[in-house]
Amino acid sequence: MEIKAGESYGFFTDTSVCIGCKACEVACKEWNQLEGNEPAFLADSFDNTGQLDAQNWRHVKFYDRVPDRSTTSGNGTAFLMMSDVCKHCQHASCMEVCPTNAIIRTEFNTVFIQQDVCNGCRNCVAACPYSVIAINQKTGTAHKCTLCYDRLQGGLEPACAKACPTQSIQFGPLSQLQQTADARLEALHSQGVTQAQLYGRDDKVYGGLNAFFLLMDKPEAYGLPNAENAVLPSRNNIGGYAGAVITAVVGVVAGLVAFRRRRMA
Amino acid sequence: MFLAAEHFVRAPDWEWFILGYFFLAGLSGGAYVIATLLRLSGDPRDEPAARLGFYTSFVLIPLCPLLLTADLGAGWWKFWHMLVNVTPGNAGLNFKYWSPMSVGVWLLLVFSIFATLSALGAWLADRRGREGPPLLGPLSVAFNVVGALA
Ligand code: SF4
Ligand code: SF4
Repeated sequence: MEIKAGESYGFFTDTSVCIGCKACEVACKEWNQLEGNEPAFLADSFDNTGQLDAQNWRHVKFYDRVPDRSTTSGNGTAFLMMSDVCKHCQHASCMEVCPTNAIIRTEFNTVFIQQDVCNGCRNCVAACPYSVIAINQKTGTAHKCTLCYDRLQGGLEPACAKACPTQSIQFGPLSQLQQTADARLEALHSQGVTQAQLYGRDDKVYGGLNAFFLLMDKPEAYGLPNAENAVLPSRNNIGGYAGAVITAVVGVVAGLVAFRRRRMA
Repeated sequence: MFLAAEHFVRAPDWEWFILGYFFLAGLSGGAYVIATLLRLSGDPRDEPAARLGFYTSFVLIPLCPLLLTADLGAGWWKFWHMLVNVTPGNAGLNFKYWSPMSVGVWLLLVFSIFATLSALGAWLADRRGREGPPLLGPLSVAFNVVGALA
């Protein structure tokens, strides 16, 4: 595949074929030279990565769906698995709040944090609705998936997509991925897998996600905000500013009243 | 007030540096507001108190950017990136009216200038022993109340 600047690229992560092997996590860490997690006993079943953060840019989520009573063979989903990643949102919350403009949109239409510009204010950490970003204490900067910006510039596909043995993670031009996803959804629906649905394929969440998903349950089941709840951080601005102005006016009026009283006394 | 807390999925770990900043900025702004009100209410007997207010405000305000910078951690020397965009090919000033942090940083800068000028005015007035000029007037009131809260 030829990778050209000026075109939109992304991931289509099809969770219906994910086997939870974490090859994507490992490939990501190797290419991006991310540290390993401290060995720890999390008692969290298969999910010993825990979360996306400064050193985990791919995270295979495991949602336990083991039924209470045994189901007929081949008929129960034991786990929902999803290889999570930065969604490279079209309307990116992180980019909206970043005061240094460290977060930019690249020539591949992906969201990228420039390490030399970021000063570690952590505004984006709070803003990202998918808790993707975290601070690396050593560099004092914010880290997340770069969609292998360096590999794309060199004409290579991202490491995770390359490593994924089931093609659960597919990389490509966005329009092509969307076609693939639509075909896959139709195939699943025609097989009677009606719970399958696409997340971030259209512009209902954050103007569309460059890294979108095929899910086997509602977005809420994966801890993802649904279309109704997907709102940008500036939603709080009007309320916050109005509150500040009202407090200020009340303060000033109270001050004036107090001074006047004293003078009259 | 509605804060859609359910959407802050990860805490940014803004701890006592930031709490300290809000506290001191509030004190400084509050002192400035009260001083301005005292002066506006026009009683000459209040003038010493007003000047004291401006001094307080001036002494406290430099601590604010220091705390904010300390909070950045290892990237502290890049504090000025808040104001200046250093992205290659897109250099210039950074101001995002829709990002409260960006707005706050600029307000802090502008308020510091006001606080410094007012304190200077108060000091000159003290030295000459006469009443200070009605510095900056109502404009500064409206402005720095917001500054104090930002
Ligand atoms: S998922 Fe989070 S970090 Fe990635 S682009 Fe969207 S808001 Fe930014
Ligand atoms: S931590 Fe860095 S990337 Fe995130 S908002 Fe602050 S300056 Fe921008």
